[in-house]
Amino acid sequence: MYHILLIEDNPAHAKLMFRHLTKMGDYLRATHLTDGEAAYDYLLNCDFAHDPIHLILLDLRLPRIDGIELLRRIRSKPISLQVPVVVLTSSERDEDIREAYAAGANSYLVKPVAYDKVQELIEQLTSYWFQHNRMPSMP
Amino acid sequence: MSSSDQSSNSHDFLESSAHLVAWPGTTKPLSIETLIAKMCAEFVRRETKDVDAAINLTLEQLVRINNVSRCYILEFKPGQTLLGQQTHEWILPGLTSRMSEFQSIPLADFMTELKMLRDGMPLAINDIHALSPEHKLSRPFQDSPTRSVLLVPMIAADQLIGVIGLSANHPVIWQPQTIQLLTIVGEMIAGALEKRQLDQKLESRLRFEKFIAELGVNLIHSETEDLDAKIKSSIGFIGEYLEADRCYIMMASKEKDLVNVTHEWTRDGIPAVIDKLQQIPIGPNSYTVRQLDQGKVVTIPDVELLPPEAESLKLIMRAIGTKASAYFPMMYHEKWIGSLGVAFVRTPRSISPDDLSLLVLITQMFVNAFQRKEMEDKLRASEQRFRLMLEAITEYGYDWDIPSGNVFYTRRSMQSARPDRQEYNGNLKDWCKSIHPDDFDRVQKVLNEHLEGRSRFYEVEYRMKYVGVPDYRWVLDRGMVVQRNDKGEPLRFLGAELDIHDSRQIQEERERLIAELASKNQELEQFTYTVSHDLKSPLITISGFIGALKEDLKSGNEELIYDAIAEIQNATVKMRLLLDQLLDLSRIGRVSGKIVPIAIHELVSEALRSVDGPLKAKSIQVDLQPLPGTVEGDRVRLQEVFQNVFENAIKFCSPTGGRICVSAIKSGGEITISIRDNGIGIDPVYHEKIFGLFEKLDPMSEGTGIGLSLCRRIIEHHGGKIWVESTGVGRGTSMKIRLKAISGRHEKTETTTD
Repeated sequence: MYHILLIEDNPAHAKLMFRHLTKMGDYLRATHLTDGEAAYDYLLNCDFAHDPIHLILLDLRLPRIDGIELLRRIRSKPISLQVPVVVLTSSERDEDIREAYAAGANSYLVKPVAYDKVQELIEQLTSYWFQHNRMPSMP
Repeated sequence: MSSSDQSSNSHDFLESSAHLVAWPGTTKPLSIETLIAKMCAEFVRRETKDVDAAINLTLEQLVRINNVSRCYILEFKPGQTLLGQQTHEWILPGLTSRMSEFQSIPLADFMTELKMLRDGMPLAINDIHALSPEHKLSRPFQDSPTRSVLLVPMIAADQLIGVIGLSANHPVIWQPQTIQLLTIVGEMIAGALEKRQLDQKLESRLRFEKFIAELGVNLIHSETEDLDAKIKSSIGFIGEYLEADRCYIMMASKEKDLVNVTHEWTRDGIPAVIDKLQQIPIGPNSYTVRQLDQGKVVTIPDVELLPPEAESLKLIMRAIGTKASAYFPMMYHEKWIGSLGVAFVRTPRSISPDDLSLLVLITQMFVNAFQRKEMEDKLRASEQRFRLMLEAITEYGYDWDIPSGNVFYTRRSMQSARPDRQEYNGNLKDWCKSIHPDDFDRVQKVLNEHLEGRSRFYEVEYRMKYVGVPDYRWVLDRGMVVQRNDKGEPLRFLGAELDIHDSRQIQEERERLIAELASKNQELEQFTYTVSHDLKSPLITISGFIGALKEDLKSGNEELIYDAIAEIQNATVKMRLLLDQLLDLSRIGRVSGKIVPIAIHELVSEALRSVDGPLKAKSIQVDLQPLPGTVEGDRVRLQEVFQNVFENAIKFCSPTGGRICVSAIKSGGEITISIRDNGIGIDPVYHEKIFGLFEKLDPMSEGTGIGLSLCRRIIEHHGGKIWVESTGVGRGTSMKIRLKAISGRHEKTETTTD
C-alpha cells in the first residue's frame, strides 16, 4: 500500500484531491495535514521503517511554515530525502516553479489538478518505486 | 701746507723716509742735484696717497733754493674754463697764501700763453710792475704783493697737465738754470701726478667693476617692488663714475614711436628733466633709433657736431642743456625696447671705449631686470586672476602653503547666505580641528595619498564645522599640489571646498524615498500576488469540482454530485466575500465617511448587538465594563472594527464557558480598549503575522484572512493602534485598540444628546 501525505490548507482543494485518490483504488492511503508546522511535526515523528511515506503532495502556501520552507526541511533530513515531493500550486509563475525545484521538488502540478493528471502521477510513482526495487508491501 | 706747521710736517716726511739718505736740515736749501736725486727716489717709492707730501716738500726746497716767496702747482683739466686749479702751494713763513690768484683767471684770456706752455715754453715775468696795468698778465696781481712770476709747463704723455710756478714779492730775473731745474722738477711731479691719476682711475674702474658685479646680483635678488629704487641708485653710481650730469633710462613704446624717461639721476645743481621727457615722439628712422634698433651704442661727444639729419635730437638736447651724451640700447629678443642715456651738461665729454663696453653690459642687466619684473607682474596678475576665479566659482577656494601650514581662503561671496568661515583663514591646524572626528582619519588618508604623490587629485567628502552653526555640514573638498621641490616634496596646494550639504541631504532624502518606494512596490507586488492567489483559490475549487462533477454525473453517484455542487456554491460565496472585503480594504483612506465624535461605550455596545446571534449560539458570557471617553472618526468603519474583533473572539472562544471581557483605560489623551477572551490564545510568534493580509493561523477556520488587516488599516487611518496580547496557546487572547480621545466637552455633549 502506498502512503501519500497531502499537505493542503484549503479544505475544498484537499477534498477534491481525496476524491481523486480514492477513485484510483484502495492501494493508496492518504494522510491530510493542513499547515506546515503540523506537517513538519508529523514527518519528525513518523516511523519510516514500519510506515514509510511514498509521496508527498505539498501545497506551497501554508500557514505557519510555508511550503518551500517545509520542502527544504524535508530535503535536509536523510530519512525523508528520497521521498518524492510533488508541489501543488495555484501559481504558474516561473520563479515559483524554479524555487520549488531548487528546494527539492520532484514535480509540480498546477491546481486544479484533474483526475487524469493524478492517474499519470500515480503511474509514475509506482514505476519509481519499482525501479528503486523498493516495492511497498501489498495490503 | 701752511708755513706754521711746516717743520713738523717736514719732520714726518723725514721720519717716514728713514731708509733714505737723510735730507739735510729742512730749513737749509739743498743743492739742486741732491734735491733732484732725493725727489726721484721719493716719487718712485712713495705711495700714491703720500705724493702730496713729497710735492709740498719739493716746493719748499724750490722756494728756498731760489730764494722766492711761493712755489705752487696749477693743474689743468680737460674742459675747464679757468686757467687752472692750484693744487699745491708752499709759501715762506709769514707770507699770505695766494692760493686763488690764478684760479679766477679765465682760460680764454690766456690762449697765447697756453699755447706757449703746451709747446713746452715757460712763462716768465721778471717784474709785474714793469708791465702796463692794462696788460692781461698784470690783472691777477693788482692787489697782490707778487712782483715776479715764473710758470713752467708740466707735460705728461704729450699733454699739458699743469704748470709749476714760482712767485716772488720782489723782481727776479729768471735764470735759465732755474727754468731748467723747474722743468725737471715739473716733469717729475707731472709723472707722479699722472701715476696718481692713473691709480685713481684704476681704483675707480675697479670700484665700478665691483659695482657692476654687485649690480647683477642685486638686480636678480631684489624684490620687484625695490627694483625702481635699485635702478635709480645704479644710474646715480654710473653718473658719478662717468662724471656725467644726468643718467637716465628711457623706454620706447610698443610701436617705437614714443619714448618715456622712466628713471633719472641728476648731479646736484643740474635740473631734472624727467617731466619734460615724456611721450617724446621719435621716428623709426631717426638718427638715434636707426642705430639703437641695430643694437649699436650711440655716442654724441658734442651736440654741436651732430649731423644735420639729427636736427630734432639736437633741438631736444639743446632744450635740456645737454652738451654731450651717449645712448646704450636695451635689447630684448634682438629688439630695441629702450635706452640707458648718459648726458653731460657742464662740458662735453666722451666716454672711454672700456667704459662703453661696461655700460653695454649694465644696460643688458637692466633689460634682464625689467624683463623679470614684467614676468613677475604677469605672474602676479595671473595669480590674482586665479584667486578671483576661485572666489567666483566656489564658496571656499583656498591656497595652502604646505611648509608653513598657512592657508589662504578666498572670502565667501556676498550673495551667499552660508556662514562665514574666517576663523579658518590662517592655519592648517584650524582646518583639522573643524573636520568631523568621524571623518578625520578618512580625510587624512586621502590627503596623505595625494601629498605623497600617489594620487593625481585630492577629492574627498566630509563634514565640516562652520562658525556660528551648531551642526556639521557636508563639503566636497577637491584640489591638488601645484608645486613641488626638487625632492618631490609638496610646497603648494590649491583647492576648493564646495558646500554640498543641501544637495547631499536631498540626495539622501531621494535615496530614502527610492528605498521606500521600492519597499512599497514590493509590498504591492506581494499584495497582488497574495490577492491573486487567494482569489484564485475559490476558482480552483469551482473548476476542480466541475471537473469532478462530470465524472460523478457519469457514475451517477448522487451523494458526490450534491457534494460537488455544495463545494462550488461555497466557493462562490467565499469569492464574493473576498471581493467585498478587498474592496473595503481599498476604500480605507480613499473613501471615508463623515468624521464625527463617537462615545466609545455606545460604539462598543452597538458592535456587540450586531454579534448577538453568534454570542447566544455559543452561550458566551460578555462582561462589558463602563467605557469612558469619546473619539472622533468614521462611525461605520470603527463599528466594523469592533464587530470584526468580537467575531474573532467568538470564533476562538472556549467551546464551553466562553467569556469575553471588554474594558477600557483612559490616560494621556488616549483610550485603550481591551477585548479579552478565554479562547485558544495565540503564540507570541504570530502576534504580528495575524494582521497580515490573508494570514490565517487555522486553515480550517472560516474567514478570508482579510479581517484583521482591514481592522488594522482602519485603526491606523484613525491615528490609533491595534495589537494582540496573549501569553500563549490556551491562555486566551487580548485584543487591544488604542484611539485618541477628544476633549470632555464633546464627550459631555455626546453623552447628553445620546
